[in-house]
Amino acid sequence: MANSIGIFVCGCRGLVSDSIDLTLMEAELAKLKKSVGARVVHPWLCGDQGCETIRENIADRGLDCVILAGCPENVHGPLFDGLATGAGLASEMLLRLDIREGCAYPQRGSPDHSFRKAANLIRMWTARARLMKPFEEIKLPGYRAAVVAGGGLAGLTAALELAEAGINVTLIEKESFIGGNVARLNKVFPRMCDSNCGLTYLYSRIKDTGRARLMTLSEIVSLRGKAGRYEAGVVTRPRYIKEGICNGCGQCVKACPVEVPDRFNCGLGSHRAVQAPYPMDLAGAYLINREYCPEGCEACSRACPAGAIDLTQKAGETRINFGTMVVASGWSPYPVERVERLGFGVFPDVITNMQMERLAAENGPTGGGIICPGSGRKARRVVFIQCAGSRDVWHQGWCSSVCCTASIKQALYLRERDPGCRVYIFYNDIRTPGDYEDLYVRAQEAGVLFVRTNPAEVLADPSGGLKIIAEDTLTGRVIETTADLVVLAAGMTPAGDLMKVIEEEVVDRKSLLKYGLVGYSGYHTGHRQCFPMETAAQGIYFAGCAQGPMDMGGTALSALAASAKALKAAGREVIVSPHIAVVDKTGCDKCKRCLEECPYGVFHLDEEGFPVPDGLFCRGCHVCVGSCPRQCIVTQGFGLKQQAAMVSSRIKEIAPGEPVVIAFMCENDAYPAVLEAGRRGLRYPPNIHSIPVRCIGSVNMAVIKEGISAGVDGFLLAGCRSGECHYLSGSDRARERLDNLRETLNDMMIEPARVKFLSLGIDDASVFVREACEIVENLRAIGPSPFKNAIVI
Amino acid sequence: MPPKVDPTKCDGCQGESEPLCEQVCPGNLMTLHKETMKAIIRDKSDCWDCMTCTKACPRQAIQTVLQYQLAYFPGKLIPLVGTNSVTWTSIDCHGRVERFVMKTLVSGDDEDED
Amino acid sequence: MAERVYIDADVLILGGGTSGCIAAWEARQAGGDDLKIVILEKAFIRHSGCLSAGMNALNMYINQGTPEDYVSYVRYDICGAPIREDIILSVAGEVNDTVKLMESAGLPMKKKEDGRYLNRGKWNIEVNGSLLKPVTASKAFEAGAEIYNRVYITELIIKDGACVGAVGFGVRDGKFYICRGKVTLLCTGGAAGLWRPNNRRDAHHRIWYFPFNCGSAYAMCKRAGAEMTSFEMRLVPIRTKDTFSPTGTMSIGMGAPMVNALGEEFMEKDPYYVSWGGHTAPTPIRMLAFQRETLAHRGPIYLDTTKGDPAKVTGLKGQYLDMSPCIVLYWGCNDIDPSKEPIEIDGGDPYLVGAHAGMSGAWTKGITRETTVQRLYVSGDALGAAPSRFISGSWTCGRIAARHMVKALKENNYQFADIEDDLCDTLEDRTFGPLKRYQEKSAEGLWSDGTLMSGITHKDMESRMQKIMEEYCGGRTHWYFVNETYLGIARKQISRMRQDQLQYLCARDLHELQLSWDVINRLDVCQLVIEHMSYRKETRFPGYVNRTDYPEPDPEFDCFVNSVWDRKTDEVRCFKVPYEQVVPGDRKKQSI
Repeated sequence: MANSIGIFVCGCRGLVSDSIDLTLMEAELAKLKKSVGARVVHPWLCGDQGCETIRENIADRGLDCVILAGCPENVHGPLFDGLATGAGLASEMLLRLDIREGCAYPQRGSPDHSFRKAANLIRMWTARARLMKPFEEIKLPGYRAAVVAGGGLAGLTAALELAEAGINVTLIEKESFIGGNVARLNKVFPRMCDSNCGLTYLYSRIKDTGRARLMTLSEIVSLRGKAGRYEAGVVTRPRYIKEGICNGCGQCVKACPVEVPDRFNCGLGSHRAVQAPYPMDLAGAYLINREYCPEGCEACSRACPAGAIDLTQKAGETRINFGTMVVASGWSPYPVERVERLGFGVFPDVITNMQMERLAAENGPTGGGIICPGSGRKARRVVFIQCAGSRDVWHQGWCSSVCCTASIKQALYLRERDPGCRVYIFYNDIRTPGDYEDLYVRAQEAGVLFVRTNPAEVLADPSGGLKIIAEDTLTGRVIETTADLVVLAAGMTPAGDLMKVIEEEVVDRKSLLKYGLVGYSGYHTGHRQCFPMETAAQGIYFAGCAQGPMDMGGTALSALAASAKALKAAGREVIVSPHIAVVDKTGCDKCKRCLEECPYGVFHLDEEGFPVPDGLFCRGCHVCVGSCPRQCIVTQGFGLKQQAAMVSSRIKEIAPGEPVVIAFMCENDAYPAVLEAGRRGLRYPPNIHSIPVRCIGSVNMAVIKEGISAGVDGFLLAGCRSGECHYLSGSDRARERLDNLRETLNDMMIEPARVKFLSLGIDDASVFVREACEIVENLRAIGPSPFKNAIVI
Repeated sequence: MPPKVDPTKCDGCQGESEPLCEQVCPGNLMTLHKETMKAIIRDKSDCWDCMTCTKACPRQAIQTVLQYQLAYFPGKLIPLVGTNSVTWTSIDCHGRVERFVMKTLVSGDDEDED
Repeated sequence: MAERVYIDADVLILGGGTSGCIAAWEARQAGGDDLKIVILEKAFIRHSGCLSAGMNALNMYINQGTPEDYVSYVRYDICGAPIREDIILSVAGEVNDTVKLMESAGLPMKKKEDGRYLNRGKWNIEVNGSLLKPVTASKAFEAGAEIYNRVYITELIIKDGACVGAVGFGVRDGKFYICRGKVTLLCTGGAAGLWRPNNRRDAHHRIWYFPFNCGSAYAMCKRAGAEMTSFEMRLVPIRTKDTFSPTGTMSIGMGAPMVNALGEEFMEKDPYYVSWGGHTAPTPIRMLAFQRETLAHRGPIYLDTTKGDPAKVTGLKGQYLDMSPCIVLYWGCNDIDPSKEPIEIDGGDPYLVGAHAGMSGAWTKGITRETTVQRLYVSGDALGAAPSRFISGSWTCGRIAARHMVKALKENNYQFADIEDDLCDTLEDRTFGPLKRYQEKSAEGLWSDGTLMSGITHKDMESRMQKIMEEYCGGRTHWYFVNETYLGIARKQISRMRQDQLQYLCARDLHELQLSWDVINRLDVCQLVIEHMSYRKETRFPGYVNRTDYPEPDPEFDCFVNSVWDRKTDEVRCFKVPYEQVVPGDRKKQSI
């Protein structure tokens, strides 16, 4: 509670002092006794000398709360905030009180009225100040757990590092198999080793830690929280075949009538809708691609001798709590059919580099034979076309960095397996950074022909093969050649929608401004040197090709970097907004109305059955404070107690017999409309005393009742229009509660018209003025509150 | 003076298993009617008239009515509970109104001059 | 079998009322942070018990004089009868400190201009006590006590002459609660509803005392074999007609005198009443005067509010709203204006209380509040032979009991007792007996109105019990008169009910089970009352108990009457315990 309050009244260089006599105000301030440490009237507080006066008073008189009565809060905000914090006062202990737009302007020409109203407002704000105390930091324990989104090389590497560091890791993979694109590779450069060998090794080490859980066929669909305490909603697609019962006999495949393209083989070849597990699918059970099943078909189910098939399985949603996340959602090949001149999708013998890997792989569709998918012939003349979609302003501007080396690797496969095979690489610039240059040299030595060309065009050749036309940029001639097979070096493009979910659901606008850089993914990313691996969401880090194109070595390194960052965020204490609601359990009797009325559903019941809001997800609207019949939901700063003190702070009539009206105003729309009315010079009765609140739904009816006890003649509650409330339902709740109160007042033979709900949009200044006039007119007709001057027993 | 619940105002505390009046009644007398989901008193003759439920009801749906054997119709006594005070409105059978304001909790003592 | 809940507590508090809540707070102060304190409450702790309607004054406060002066006042107010002066003295010594504690907890005190509490008469102070119970409960929360609401305690667990816990059932969840306490404080209030109330049918609970206090503390103590005291010293209240609201607000607060139908202030007229102090005569004497005036056909009797302090009439209704709001409605509906006409008063049904103007309860060792059953402590209305402690004194008693409990706990290093499954099973059968019987008996058939063909309800039993007590044990309609013959009939009938009829008592649901236990407990207390009244062969408290066969006081009985119940024979053995005067002086005079 504030013990030494400084009240500073500003003349605003005449804007206030022309309407409000500051000399009289000094005498008025002297009447405020308890806990008031300084009373200052000043012609111009925002000037240097004015600021100095405030500063001196804070220091000399040890002020712990300051009321600045003058211009509204949105004027000179940073100036006064800085002044207060500079003088050692928490910014929440600086209370701004508008007596200009809401008092001097609309009452211009009636100095007595504007003076009285200003004096009343200062009285109210002083009552509020007496109950203010600086915010205490509210900390919540963080979860010592991490989510790694993506089970490719980056994800596996990060998961291993985190699990070995003692963090519980949930590894979420969209496909049924782990390893991602790496699992599809035939060989890995530069050592030309087997990719699955490395993946299997990584995964077995992860399993050894005992701290990792793998969820395949799963995707993160929702996310909330902040670094240290996140909660994700994960949807897992069913296999429709029970693991542990399926013994892989394959009867189902024989019965299945539908062919579907083979995803693992990048669309080369097909399998049935019910399929054997892909390589690196660790579940060991078949699965059904249900979206391809004909309506009502149960052929597989009937064929299964083990009874393992359950076509009724439903997708399941799991909620996962964790402190940090590594986004390793990887990449997809650029959809090269968009580069029409290259003929992909038109000519079956035009394939992508990933398809080439599958053709070369022993577990691929041809068992490792380089067979043209269209003609069915062995490829003897192969043309690689580089930068298919990359470094192309019409497609994607960036260099995908690995395609040159990858094509060289593939050219080497071809030359090694069939020395008679002619291999051309049509390139813009060969980019084989670092020691990948060795591969380039090896390819040249192996007889791969490199042709520097401008964009090529692929056409059908009358002979049945393909014809490629391009400009040789070294000689300037147009060259034309034929090929059995054309391999397009499709660039890297980020996969999946996870970053979209993250940026939409957990990143606030401020962080987006801080993270001005936008990565190749189109999402915000930290500065490479200063904030490497960072996304715009704290505690969430990029690894691998989710951040940018990179090779496998780079991917592993980035995963290590991301894990190092994530280690710091896992289990970190979370400091939440000081405005979150806290339930005082000693007052609570578990009526659960807050659960009902919270617009965001952030309340849950603890083990004793008390409602507890999740501090991280609470948006501080305080609608629950308004709902609580026990008045036991407490908030820091301006809340129920302060409001009650304000309405019962001996507010005086503006002139004898004039009704006193208190207007609670939504600070988002209604209060700005009131200020606007003042700015426009609209006049309305001085009887209205406005109090801005976070949301009109935060006003507890006990406050209104307290005001009624204290003899206030009328109340106006102004909230947003129904459906436009910034906190969804706050304004509707307030209206409903007020309707209820009006009925009770009616029973008590008190005119219900004394309390009124008002919907105000931000541009409704004139509506406010009309309504203000009306309620005051009504109250004058009704007469004073029966509780005015009542004897308090 | 058993409590009478106005079904148009009572919302059964939003269908929770225990409405507020049921929570607070020292005699375990209030309960939720299974079908209407409105609060009712189990046995009106068992009420001590402490008015706890009437004061507590968040919808002001409960009225206390004296047994007719003791008092004439239709007087009313309505509490309105604020944060630190309570007001009572007594309306006698002839419609005459008396009002009372009482403190209920210590509040920040106001030493200011008027 | 019901689901079982096991609770262990260092300090087990049965009853979260005036005493219990503050006892929890004091136990924490005395016992430190590690002490496990548990409160079991049959309703909801913030709004339960005698304080649930609020209270507008604290009737025990040392505004003037010394604690000894208060003892002298209490002794006088009970006609100089024996009281435990040591206990009263211990309370009076720290009651003012307790009141200060409650003010800091948020209780609004009325104050005079000099900042002192506004007194009402010599020993009372005025408060805005409409939230007295929530404020009281806040101390229990502050103490970090574990609070179990809606647990109805049915029996104490006694092993080797010591109380080691208690059992009960969840009023809402129907679970069986088995609670072990290293020490146990029993403070579940006094007893209402033994005699027939003045109002019938739908107004039968329109009585002065809290009707849901059924004497369970007395009954459980008795069944535990504790020594009980002063059950003949019941409280017969004079209260406002029909609503039975307290009268102190008018008589002490505004000085309204008692007058008869002729307008005579008889208390100042009759030399006998004058000799006792006139208007401020002891409570039983004022009751006696009311009876005599009415029987002399000079009724009805009023408190003449028109003669009181006119400045205080305006505040009168407000004060009642803080405590007994129904009377304000009653006045409004019946066109009664206390400033213009006197307020009719009436004698109510008798109650058994320990902390008000009655002194029934358990006998305790010294000022420890420990009963003759080891490790069992009592406070509030359950504590016997120490009247006039009221709310502030009951808070204080809770504190004193808590300190002695913590001390004994530490000195004796009490441990949790092993409670055998057999014992639990027996207690569970007993606890849920009426509920189980309903299930059995309903199979034997129902009448067309849905009632049991072969069982009786708590309501039936209560009516029968109240009829016997009313007619044979000095009820209101019998002008509180008894003699040995009447008592003999009462003894016979109540014994018949206890020994033979309880086997038919059935409860349809948990609420009825609670009410059934209320009637079981009340019957146990009835037995105590009858035996004590019969044993005290004199009239020591005229107005409370008028023995027509022994109408005068007998010096032989200038002592306490205590008793112990024998479980095997179902007999209550009464005996005399000498009175010790601690505060010197004339017992029939106030020192100030």
